[in-house]
Amino acid sequence: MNAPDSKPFSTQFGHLGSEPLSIESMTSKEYFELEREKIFKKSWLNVGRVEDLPEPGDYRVQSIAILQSSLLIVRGDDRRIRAFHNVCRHRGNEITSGCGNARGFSCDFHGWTYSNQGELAFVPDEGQFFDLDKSQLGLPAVHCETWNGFIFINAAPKPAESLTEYLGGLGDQLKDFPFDQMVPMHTLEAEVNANWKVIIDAFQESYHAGFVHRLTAGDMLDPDSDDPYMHLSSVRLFGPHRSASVPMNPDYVAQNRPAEMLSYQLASSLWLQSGAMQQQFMPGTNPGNHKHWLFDINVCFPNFFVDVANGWFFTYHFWPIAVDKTLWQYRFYMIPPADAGEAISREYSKLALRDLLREDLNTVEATQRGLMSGAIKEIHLSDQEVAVRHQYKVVEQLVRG
Amino acid sequence: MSNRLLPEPFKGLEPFAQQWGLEDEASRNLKRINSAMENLREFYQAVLPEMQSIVTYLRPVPLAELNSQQRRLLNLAKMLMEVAPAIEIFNQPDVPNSFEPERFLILPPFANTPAGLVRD
Ligand code: FES
Ligand SMILES: [Fe+2]
Repeated sequence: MNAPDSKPFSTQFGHLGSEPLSIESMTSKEYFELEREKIFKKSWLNVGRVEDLPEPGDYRVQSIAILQSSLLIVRGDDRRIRAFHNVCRHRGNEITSGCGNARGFSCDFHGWTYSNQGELAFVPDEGQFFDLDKSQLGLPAVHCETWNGFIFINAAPKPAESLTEYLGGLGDQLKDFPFDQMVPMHTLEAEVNANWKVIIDAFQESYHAGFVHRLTAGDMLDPDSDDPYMHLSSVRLFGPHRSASVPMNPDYVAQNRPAEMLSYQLASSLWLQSGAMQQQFMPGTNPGNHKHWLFDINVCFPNFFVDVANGWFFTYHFWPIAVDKTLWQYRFYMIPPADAGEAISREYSKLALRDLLREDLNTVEATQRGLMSGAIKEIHLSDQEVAVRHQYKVVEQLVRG
Repeated sequence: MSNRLLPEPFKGLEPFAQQWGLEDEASRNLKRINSAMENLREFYQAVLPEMQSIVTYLRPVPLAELNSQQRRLLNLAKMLMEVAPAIEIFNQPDVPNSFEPERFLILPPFANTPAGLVRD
């Protein structure tokens, strides 16, 4: 049965081991608090793309439970995007909420006013204060850098490395993908009753596809081929980040599904990208140069995915709320439709992935219930679940380190 | 007739236009999951054979310049795509064994959401 070469990832990444893993990090409140301090308050975290804030003065407030913070992300009149704590220097009131466009922000409590570049511009009845140095009292800044149009923040007083250094090899792999040629098609969001890592796990292996997605993606697996379980084609580890390539079933046909077939005929779209096999792959994709390639899973540690394919990409954010509760968010981007035929085709792409994601989210809640029951103490991972193993190893090292 | 909802060549689909030609994805999904299979099937069987003609008719018009009848027709075609998995895959209106739709938000690209995205 198990020929040695049927477990390539354990050879390639021998340092990760092969032992069962403890479930403590998925169920323990104490562990969750350690993750907050040792991971989330020190890592570069994605908070969207530059196109979200196209004009000077565009801003939005993002409350991030795991940071116990509300952040104001704003493009200043100088066009630079910055992040601040949404906290007034006077007595700590929150400055603003929601999103919009503003020249500045005025605190509701006593009217201290800040520019959209964060400087304290005006203090009512300033003469009553003692030695107030307004130049030192701008909004409390949060480190903010962009990479390829993605905005990241880092809540550490002094981040250990720049964003580019942090992204490392994952950034190199993705640097030429044409992110800026694609537009968001929709956003999906749910509060999911599961640990953030448990949810991530469901999106970084292909083992579950034939079971959880037997209806929505069952035809992606070919039981008569030499790859009946849709094995990952290749895996790359980049420090805390990871990347895996998922294969395409070359014999996929949407049998008895005329509407789905139509979506492939009308445009280069979701799975059957008109002649995907012969097509040139977009830069930043398929680094293993696999012949039958579907898409790459790209996990930017700790809580952000940028999965890329030929002509589309999507992001996931997993924002931890509690040890067993996570705000999950998905955004799907495609090349904008040029005509009605492409718009109709893209509509199918959108909803096919959407329906499939509801299968994943249902499963992870059931998994978390099982873990919380205390019935098992550890989980057993196959070679195919190397990305899952990598995540727990990275987290454990940071939490205990 | 000026109160026709669809372009003249598609007047045969007029009975479906009001209820099925919905403007946004969330409404189309809600319509699908709250409809009986026989109604989904009736809609699917009526619209599927027209899809090729719909595309041929709409394709020359730039998307930003569709008039309200053409836009309604496009939405009807998108609704066909929405209904398709129920007929072609699930044999029921909604995805079996899936996360509750009430807890699952389908939002436009730049919706302002709990995670704080921008622009409605
Ligand atoms: S707390 Fe903001 S002006 Fe007083
Ligand atoms: Fe899945």
